[in-house]
This record gives sequence, C-alpha cells and structure tokens, in this order.
Amino acid sequence: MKVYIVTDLEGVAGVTQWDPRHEGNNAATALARRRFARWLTEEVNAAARGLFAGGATEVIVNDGHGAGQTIDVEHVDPRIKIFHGTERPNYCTGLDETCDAIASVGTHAKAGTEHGNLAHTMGTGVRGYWINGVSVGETGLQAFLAGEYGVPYVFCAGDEWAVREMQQLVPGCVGAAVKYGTSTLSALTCTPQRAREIIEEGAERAMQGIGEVEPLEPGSPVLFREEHHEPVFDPEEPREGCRIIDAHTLEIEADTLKDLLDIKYGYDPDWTPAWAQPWFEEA
Amino acid sequence: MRMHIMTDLEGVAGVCQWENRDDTGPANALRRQRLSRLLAGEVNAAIEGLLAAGFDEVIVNDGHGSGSTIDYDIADPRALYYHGRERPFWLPFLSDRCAATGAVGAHSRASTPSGCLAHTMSGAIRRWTINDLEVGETGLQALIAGYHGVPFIFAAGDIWLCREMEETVPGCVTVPMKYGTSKHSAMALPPQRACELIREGAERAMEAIDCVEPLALESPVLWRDERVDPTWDEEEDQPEGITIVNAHVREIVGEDLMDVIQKVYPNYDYDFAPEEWTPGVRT
Repeated sequence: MKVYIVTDLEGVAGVTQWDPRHEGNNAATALARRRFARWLTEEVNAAARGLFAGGATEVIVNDGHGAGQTIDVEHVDPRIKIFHGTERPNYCTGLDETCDAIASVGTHAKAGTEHGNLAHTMGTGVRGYWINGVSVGETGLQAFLAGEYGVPYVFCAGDEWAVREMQQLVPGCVGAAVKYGTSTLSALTCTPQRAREIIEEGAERAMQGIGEVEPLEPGSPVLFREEHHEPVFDPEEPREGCRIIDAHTLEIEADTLKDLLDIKYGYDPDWTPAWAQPWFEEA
Repeated sequence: MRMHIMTDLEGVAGVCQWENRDDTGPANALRRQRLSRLLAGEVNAAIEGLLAAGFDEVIVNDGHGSGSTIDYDIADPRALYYHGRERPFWLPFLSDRCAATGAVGAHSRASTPSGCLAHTMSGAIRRWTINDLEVGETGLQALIAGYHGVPFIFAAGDIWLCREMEETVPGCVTVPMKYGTSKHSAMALPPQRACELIREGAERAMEAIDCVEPLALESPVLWRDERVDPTWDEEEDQPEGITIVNAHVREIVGEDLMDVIQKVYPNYDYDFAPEEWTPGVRT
C-alpha cells in the first residue's frame, strides 16, 4: 500500500506566523526556520509511523512548502522517500494511479476562511480557486488531482478549519486537528509533542479509509477558476490555454485536471519519471 | 475545572532587561531563546501545580510581545496554548467557562517605584484607573475575569506585582520571583528555585477559589487613561463616551467593563466567541 503525503508548514502545531524566509539572512530568522522545519519533520514522521502501522508499505512525502525543501532530511523517518526542491517537472510529482491514498500534513485552510490560521491559497493574493464550481484550497486541488487517478484523500493533519474544509469536501477522511485558528496570525494550539501523538493515531486510523473513502473525481472536462484580490491579469496579453475573464479572474478548461495543471504551470505534459522502475518497486 | 493563565516575560525570574525584538544578530537570538526557555519553565511549573491540585484543563495565553514567546519544545503538552498576533481579542479564552485565572511572569504596573520592568502595555501609559481602582495589565486581566464571574487566584512575578495583586484581589496566592530595585535591576531567584516555588504556589492557589471574590465593578464604569506624553487634542471630536480631560488624560465611560474596553480598543473583533475546542482525531 503506497501513500502519498503532501506537506505544508502553515498547519503545523506551534507555527502561527508566516515562514520568515524572506526576512533576511540573520540569526533570528535562521533559528525560527530551523525550529519550524523540525516541527514539520516530526509531524511527518508521526504521520508515517501511523500510516505504516495501519498497513502502508510505502510512503512518499512531497515537501510542499515554499521553496520545497523545508523538511529536515537528517531527521526524517528512514522508511520515507522525499520529493523535494524547486523547478519541479509537474504538479505533485510521483502522485499517480499506483498510489493507494493521498494525505496532507501541516495543512492550512483555504483563502478566505474567516478564522483560519495562516489561511491562504498558494499566494496571499489569491481570493479563491474553483474546480468545476467547487471552491477549493491547495489541499482540495490535490485531492481532486488524486481523485482523477482513482486515489482517495484519506487524512488531513493541521488547523481545525482545514480539517473541517477537507472533511466537507471528502466525506470519510480522517482529521487530526492540532490547532484552532482564531485569526490569520493567531491560534489555540497543542504543543508539537502532543500534536505528533494525535497525528500518529489519526494516520493509522486513516488507513482504514482506503477502499471506503470515495476518490474525489473532478470529471471531464475540468474547469478551473482563479480569482485574485488585485488586478493581476492583462486581457490584452492572453496566456495559452487560459481565458482571462477580467483583470482579477482567470479560467482554464481541459480534458483532465492533470492537463489543466500542466497548462497552468507550463509543465511538459509528456514528462514521466525516469526513476520509476525498479527503484520504487523494491520497496 | 479549567484554569486560564496569562503569561508575560518581564516578571520571569532571571529577566531584568527588556526583550529586544529588533536586534536579529546571533547574540540576541540566543538570549531570546533563553528567555523563551525560562518562561516555559515557569509556565510548566504552574501547570504542574495546578494539575496536582485538581484542575484538569489549563489554557495558557502566550501574552508577551509578538505572542509567541513560550518555548513550545519544552512546554507541558497537557496544556493548550493561545499564541500569535492580530488576535480577535486580548484574552479570547478567558470566559465563564474558566474556573479561575492567574498570571505567570507578571510585572508591576506603570509608575511603580522600584518595579522591575514596570509598565502598562507600553511605555506610553503613566496610569490607568478603572472606577478608582488603579490597575496594570494583570489588574485589568483580573477585572475582565471578574466580568465573567471568574476569580483571579494566582500571580507569579516581581514582588511589586505580587503586592499590587494582593491589594487588588485580597486572598489571591502570589509567588515573588524577584525583588525589583529599579526599572532594570532586581534581586532574583535562580530558575530552578523559582519553579519550585511556582509549583507550590499554583497548587495552593486551588484553595483560593472558594475565598476569592471575582472582581465586580459598579455601573457605569469610568476608565481614566493617563499618558506619559501629551497625546490628545482637546479640540478634536471624540466618539461617544470618551472625554479628553487634558493633553495627557482622557476618560472613557460605559455601561460595564466590556463596553468601556470596546471604546478603548475599537479594533478587536468583539463578535468572535471561540468554540469549545480540544485537539484530536476527527472522524
């Protein structure tokens, strides 16, 4: 049983502030970022322990936050494989029909969630994403992409508001609520240590969702809509494959969500992982 | 039984200088790590004593500065912690659901002679009186608790703060951590001894629940807000209930304490009432 985890930082217990990665090269920032990375890594490890205990034989972690290398590789569970880095070949690399489930750790609520701690969708300028009219955040988008491969979203660890969002979108998925956002920059939280216990327990439970939870299928064709707070699109400069509705709004339509994301991010649609076999099969 | 603890940094044993959050260099980064550790040690000692006395729930408000000062790596995982900035209210989890409230790391109010790091909120305030009761931050906390019918039973901090709170709330248990001798000097206990005393005091505080009256205010409530520097323009129109006495002093009148607080701090989200929340697995 292969489980694919997408990680983010903003839903990790103990983190209530944005990653200070653009706040300069200084000791305060370096220490804060190391602490955040360690907390994320330990939540990932807790999730992996739970998933393996629940029957997973392979866990792939997509180090999804920011520059894509937040997880502390020196302290990660050795049974995990990590996909990390920037300039990636496609969206959610390694997520395909060979996975049995998808999960998320460090999950924050989507943009516009009233009391969601660090709630946002991709950048803070985005007002919202919609897939075929359904409002989604980053994690909802990933759940739809997994659903296209027939893979169910089974587990959400993060802010209470993210857990509610995902349980509404994917009935039956298990949540591990480790904090309760009260505003963008504040939350009631348990300690990182207690969060790990909750996440491990929840992840083990979530393995039972495989075969029970319905994959979140987007259908075909797929219509994606993206709205921004500020005018960011120029109707005079159309982007290939995209419809600029107005300066705030962009739409993309494609046969599949995978095709759609390749268009959105300019990925090579024919890219396939050269690693595929036999390296992954040995596990 | 739920206990609500407010924390601050300036009353922690071993602290006699202001925290500098602007200096991002390594020396100050290490110093701030130590401050976080010292505060967390005192908070843990209080939690230990409270749980031993029979409280079964502790919510800690990480109240100092930017709202993320407690070191969550060593914080007691049996408590929940409210942290972060731009909060919907100063003390959103202090409500009638709490059996009692107290303070750790508390400093004396502004203008206290010999009070170590004495201040009220910021350096701008010279004196606050609410219906002739002179209060600092901790006194205001006790009044807000009283508004909800909750007694203030415990304070750990500078001896001048302890005396202040004994006078404000007769019968509360206080634990002096240091003897302030000037704004930036004090005779202090080393952290280990400080924590022993906090643990004992917090355990004893349970007994104060029955003999300490929640602070009650007669209606109307008059808040007199005196500033160090000339701050207000007597010619300028004021919202209803606010009177400018002179450039240093204004008076705010309201039906009750929260009515006055809303006039003093109009930017909070007073409609926000947090749900009862515990971290855990959601199915």
